Amino acid sequence: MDRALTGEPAGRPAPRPPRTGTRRGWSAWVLWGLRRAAGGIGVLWAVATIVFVAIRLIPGDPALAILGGPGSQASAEAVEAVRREYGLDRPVLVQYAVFLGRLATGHLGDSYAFRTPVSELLAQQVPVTLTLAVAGLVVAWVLAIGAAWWSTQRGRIAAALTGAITVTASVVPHFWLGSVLIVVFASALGWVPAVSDGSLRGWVLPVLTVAVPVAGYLAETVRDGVVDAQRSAFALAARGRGETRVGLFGRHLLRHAALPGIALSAWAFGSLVSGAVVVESVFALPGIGRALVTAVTQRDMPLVAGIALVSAAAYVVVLAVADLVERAVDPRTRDRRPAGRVGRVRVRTQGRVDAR
Amino acid sequence: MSGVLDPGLPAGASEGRARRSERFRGGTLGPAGSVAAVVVAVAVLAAVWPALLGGGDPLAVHPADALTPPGPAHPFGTDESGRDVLARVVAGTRASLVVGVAATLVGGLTGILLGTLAGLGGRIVDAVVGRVTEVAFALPLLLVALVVIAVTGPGPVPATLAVGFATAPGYARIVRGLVRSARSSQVVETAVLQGRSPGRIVFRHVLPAALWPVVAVATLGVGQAVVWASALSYLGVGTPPPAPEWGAMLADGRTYLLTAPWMSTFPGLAIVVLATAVTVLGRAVRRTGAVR
Amino acid sequence: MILDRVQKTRARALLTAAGATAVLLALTACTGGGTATDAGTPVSGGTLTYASGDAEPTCLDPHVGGNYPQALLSTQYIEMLTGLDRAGKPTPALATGWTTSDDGKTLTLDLRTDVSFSDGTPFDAAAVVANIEHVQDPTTASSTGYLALQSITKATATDDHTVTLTLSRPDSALLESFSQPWVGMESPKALQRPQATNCASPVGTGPFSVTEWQRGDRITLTKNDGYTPLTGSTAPRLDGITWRFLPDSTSRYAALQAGQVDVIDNAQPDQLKSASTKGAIRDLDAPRPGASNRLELNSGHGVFRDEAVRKAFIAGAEIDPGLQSLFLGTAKRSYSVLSSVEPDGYSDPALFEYSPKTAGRLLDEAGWKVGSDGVREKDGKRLTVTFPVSTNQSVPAERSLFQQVQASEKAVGFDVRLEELDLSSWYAALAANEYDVVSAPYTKVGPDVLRILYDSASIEPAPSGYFANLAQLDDPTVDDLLERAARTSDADERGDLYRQAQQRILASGTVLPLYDQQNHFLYRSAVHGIETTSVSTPWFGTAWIAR
Repeated sequence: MDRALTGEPAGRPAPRPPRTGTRRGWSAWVLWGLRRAAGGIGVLWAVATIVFVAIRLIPGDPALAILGGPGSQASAEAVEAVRREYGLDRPVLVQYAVFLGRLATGHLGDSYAFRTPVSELLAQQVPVTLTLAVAGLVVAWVLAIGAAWWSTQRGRIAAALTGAITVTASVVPHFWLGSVLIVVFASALGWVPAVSDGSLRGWVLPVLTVAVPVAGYLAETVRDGVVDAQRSAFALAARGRGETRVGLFGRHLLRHAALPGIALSAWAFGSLVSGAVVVESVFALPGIGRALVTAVTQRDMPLVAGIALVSAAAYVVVLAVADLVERAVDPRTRDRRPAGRVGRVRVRTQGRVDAR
Repeated sequence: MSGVLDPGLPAGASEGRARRSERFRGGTLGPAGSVAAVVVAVAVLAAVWPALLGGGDPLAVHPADALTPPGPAHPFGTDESGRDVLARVVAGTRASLVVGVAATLVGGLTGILLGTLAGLGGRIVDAVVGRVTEVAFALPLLLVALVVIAVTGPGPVPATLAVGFATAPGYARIVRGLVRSARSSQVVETAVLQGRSPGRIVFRHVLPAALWPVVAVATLGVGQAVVWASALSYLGVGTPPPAPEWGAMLADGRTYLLTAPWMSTFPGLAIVVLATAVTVLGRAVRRTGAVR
Repeated sequence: MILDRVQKTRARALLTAAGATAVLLALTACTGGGTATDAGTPVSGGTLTYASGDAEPTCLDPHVGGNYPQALLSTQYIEMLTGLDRAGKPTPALATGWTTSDDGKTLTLDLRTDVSFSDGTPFDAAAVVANIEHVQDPTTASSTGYLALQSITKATATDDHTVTLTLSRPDSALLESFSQPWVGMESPKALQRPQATNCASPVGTGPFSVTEWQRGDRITLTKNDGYTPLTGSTAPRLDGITWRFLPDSTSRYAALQAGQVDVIDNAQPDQLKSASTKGAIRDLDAPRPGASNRLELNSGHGVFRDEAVRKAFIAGAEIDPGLQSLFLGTAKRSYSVLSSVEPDGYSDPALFEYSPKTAGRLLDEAGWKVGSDGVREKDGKRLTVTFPVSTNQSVPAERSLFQQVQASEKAVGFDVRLEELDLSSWYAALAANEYDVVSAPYTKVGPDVLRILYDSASIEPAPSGYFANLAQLDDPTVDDLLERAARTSDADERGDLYRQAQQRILASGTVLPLYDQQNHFLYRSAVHGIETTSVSTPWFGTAWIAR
């Protein structure tokens, strides 16, 4: 049962009867929103703490990083002055408290290297990476659905070929794929620019590069889901009703196959942001991925922290969106409650949901 | 169907063992699986005994022979220092396989641990572990890797750990779902009603149900791990030179993409072939293992 | 146009035929700009796109810090007090003339009277004083500029356009140093702004000015309409320059080929090979001044304290075949500590012959016996050599060369451990003395770089831990020669002293010269009139793009 590989299985433990209110009441959604917000804040706090600790662990004096790097001739007085100014001479816990306090009020500080507010830098760079990731996800889904169609509806040879292509696609390294695409489509054919230049065409290759590996992974999942769905009773019934193959595929099969894919998309988003680090370097996109590499190299702590937090926040939002979409697509998931511990017998008043 | 969720493993251990041993008879693997098995076997052989498959010293430098195209003397050509690419690809099998497998093991085991905890525990444990995995998910892999490497210095071990920990949340999520479903499956309910101890139930019924799918995902994960490790080499924080490692070779070969494409083609092919083979093999094994 | 005309042949530049003709015409006829012949008439207008593979500077004010990426950028908008001619002699620029006192401790500069900064502030003696003080101010955190102006104790404006510098000692290198962008002239009004602001938009007298900086992406320079060259009359022909940062070498070159960018730096050897003097892509070969690319052996620490072991390492390093095959003939072997553009360079190939037999003999005599795995041992210690390599500074071809050195040394019995590190970690390793061999390029105008690199005083670390004398050479004779050379104003005596110093440095076995600091710029054939500065950066004040 390949669907089980990919996340929450479609067959879920039996939902308990709701304790209060109606299933689809506003209160349920508000509660959901609050729960997720609280969880999100928790995640951000944890990420901030991890970043703080990690940066302390990286060898190197932050005062030197502020003064332009270890190759500088900064005098002892300058180093001392910087230490005082940035509060680096205070005890670690105090620094942590100050750090958290500033974050809570939305101050991400100034970049050590660029001496400009981190929020300004992020405001310029985050949209680029976000565009890359979202566009990459969309393209990946399109490719995955196409691959699923080809591998399930077009016969055995197509299926085998598509299967081979998707597995290959999922293990192609970004930097290599990017360079090959540049050489073929930009240098040799001249259809698109080699590096980003602000135009729409300049986005084609980077988006493709970042989307292909994810598409490979997604295609497997969607294909398995479609195969499963094809065998089910309702599919046969739909065919019996005269539904066309395309209609069946689009309206019914995909819907059921998409569910695990949605959970996977959340993971894929993180993977896309990671891939962006490499892709932005290859295609010269001014996003946070590229900035991250430089920031770590330069020990630019505020910028590293800012980027980590933005990625975490984006991820929290993506997870929430994925959850929403799951609930929208599959009504059965709306009142999930975790089952009790093993060892306690539960008497169920409702039958188990058909684990189809 | 609820195949893997409800594996229908017989309560009796001996019958289960007999069943399991039947699964690995060659014929049940199918044509694709058999080919994949052969490829993986060759790769393992290359990792263990490189001299058998590819001639020469992967580190021997011959500047005079630099950048020669594939030919009789050098079937895969030579690189910019005159080293034989075939020898390096074969020698690199060990490094890449080890990194790929080790990272997947690290990630998989961590994930299984976390996922089982979350799946078996109550509300609070589940919530906590859920948040932990979300946090881990939220940190971009490369940030984790860059920070780990900035602290410990470059090398295969930090890269392995970084890739492993970054992939753990994925496994955790899957395992959690599977464990939950197994928990509420008929077999487990029956065992509970029969009064078996929780430990026995977990190890006999819940975990095996959760593990097979993870193995299948892990096989694809090995390929992914090798690729992420190569990305780290591209960024300059991977295995130190001159050690042959496919990812590092791929990264180095990019400089010569136009003049000596064989430098990156063969390691790239090796990555793709191995990753594909491991995936296909894993799938085939799981298919024969699962009963339906 | 202060620097360019007299400096255009300072570096060994392979300009286009048209460009070279323009140079000749300009030199002889002293008329403005590059009047081209077969390149056609210069065209005004257009924006030049420059794609750099170097790290993006963190501050556009070259007083702060002081590295090569800053020099590349700032020579477009900042001008210097002096220039340099082909023979390495200082020439007038913003300073029209100078006199040195008899004891050498006072330098008086006469300044141009007709120049203003792009923000309208006039260029005068007070401005020069403000700049010197800015460089010497600890809060500016200048490295390169600071070292260059170390001998100045006081700068006074004796007149509106006359500056008197009081020196702690005679300094023959000071006028050369003033030709470097790291001590270039900025508007004093701009310098008074907070450093973060001045870093984002420094103000100079050059042909362009900084209008926008999108960090991590590009910098926009616009034509300075008030630009007044020393001679000639043309304002820059270009409307502006877009300075992009493209870290990936393959993409950068692809962008050049596609015409998306006009000039790139950090070209790889195979990309250089495809450039030609008449083709669509041309090569500007401008080796950096200062030191050559060398391997320096840590003589103060570890196995290289023994001179015999050092000489063995040098004899066991096979460089030439790798150099030829990796750099495809674009880099020439150097046997000198100084760059080939330095007139006072001294080289001695005989000291650097590859001879594994000699290496083996030296090591045997020093008591290092070959162990079971081929690595030599003595008193239970292995002959391990740590070699940190900065991935930010070493190009792939160079890193491959180091791997070949590692291989040839292995044959002799050295176990060379190459550590590829990012820049910060690399500096940290050097500061902690965790290196036996290292390649650390240093760019400075003039042979005075020897004092920075090989004087024993340079072993003393700055508070950051950084020190320049990585060979840790502590030779009183060398110190004395270098100091005397710095004090004398007699050119012949100076040259002779520097030659003697280099002889001793090379003979000490602490240095293995490799090649000039490679500094190639590839540009599209439509671009004309590129000139080079004293630090071998391309200068676009007279450049134009053919339609």
